Amino acid sequence: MRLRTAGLGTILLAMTGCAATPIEPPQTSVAAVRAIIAANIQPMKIGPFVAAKSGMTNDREIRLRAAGIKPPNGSTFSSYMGELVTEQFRIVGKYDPGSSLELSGTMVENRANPAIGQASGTLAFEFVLTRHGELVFRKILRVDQRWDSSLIGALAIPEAEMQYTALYPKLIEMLMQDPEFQAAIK
Amino acid sequence: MNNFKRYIRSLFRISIPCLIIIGMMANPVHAAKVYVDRTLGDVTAEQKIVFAEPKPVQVIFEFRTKGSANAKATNYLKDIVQRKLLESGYFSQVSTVPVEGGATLIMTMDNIPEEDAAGKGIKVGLTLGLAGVKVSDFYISSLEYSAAAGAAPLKVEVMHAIHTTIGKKPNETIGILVKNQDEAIDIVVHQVLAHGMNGIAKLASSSGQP
Repeated sequence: MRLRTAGLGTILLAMTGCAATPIEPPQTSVAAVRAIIAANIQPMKIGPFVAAKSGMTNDREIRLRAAGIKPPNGSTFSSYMGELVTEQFRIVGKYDPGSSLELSGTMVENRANPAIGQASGTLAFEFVLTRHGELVFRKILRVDQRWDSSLIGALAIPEAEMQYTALYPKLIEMLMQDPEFQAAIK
Repeated sequence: MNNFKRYIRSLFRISIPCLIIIGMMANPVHAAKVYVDRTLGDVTAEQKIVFAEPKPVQVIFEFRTKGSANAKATNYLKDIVQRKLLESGYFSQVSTVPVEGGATLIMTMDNIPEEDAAGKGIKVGLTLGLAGVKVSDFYISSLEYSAAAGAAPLKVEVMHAIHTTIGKKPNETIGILVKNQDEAIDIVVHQVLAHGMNGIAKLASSSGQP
């Protein structure tokens, strides 16, 4: 009985410690918005954003030491990217669900490692642009970030969450500045 | 049995300092006190410059920490920024999407925490609050206003700061003592927008822009 109680307690403690909290819904990124304006693109619709492999565990949760983060509204990190792209395009008036241009993406890499001292995060998507259903652009873009990470979890975990979520607008900025993408949308 | 006694003694060794720390934290003298820096202050009625004709504007706002996008803080502050801009009287409408006329206000607010703030906090903990400490958060805000699509932007930069003390008695020379961080950031946003928009209105007036 004592063993069963101890076991239950351990499971409950583990569940509490491991609970993942949702990140914020997509927010405005000034750098991404500026990059979209500078790219002088035509309005486009946003197609599906998915993970490369179905059931990819880090599409639903990222571990940050003893804590975890998950996408907002019970979605996936790949669809979060699609929502973020839509939000940035909407802000600059470049989102048009009726456009013949469609941008979609497949998440191929997604990780964060808030190690003590030096932390790192990586995000990579394969972006696809079609015009009237015909492929005009396909490319994998990847963003890496490194930052100083405290020994103290209470400082390191929020820092890691902030640095990790900042990877998404950085990747949009990178896509907008890509010369091949810019040539494809002309 | 000896092991059990050692275990009980170790619990006391841990819990007595813990109780002292909890007691000190409960003591208002050692609680964190938050101050808004006095350097910037408010814009007086005499100093205020207004637009001749308030127009709708699209506001694009982002909060950053040490230069990196901070989605959590952006989400918390964006509505406050919009509300304060509308109350300021500079604009007839404040929107997050493009508006008629194409006016935009792009604002970033970058929080630069004082170096080694965490180290100072640990020092306070280790000395049970006797050391006392003051840490500062600096805010560098950039406001960029374009009166119409394609118009030359008018740029203004505004600096502000929030100071937090732990283990020290209230000291109003540090800044304006406020209830908590929420009230402090509300005042900072208010003063940054007041000075930022005043600076933009001044530039608009001198360059002959509407």
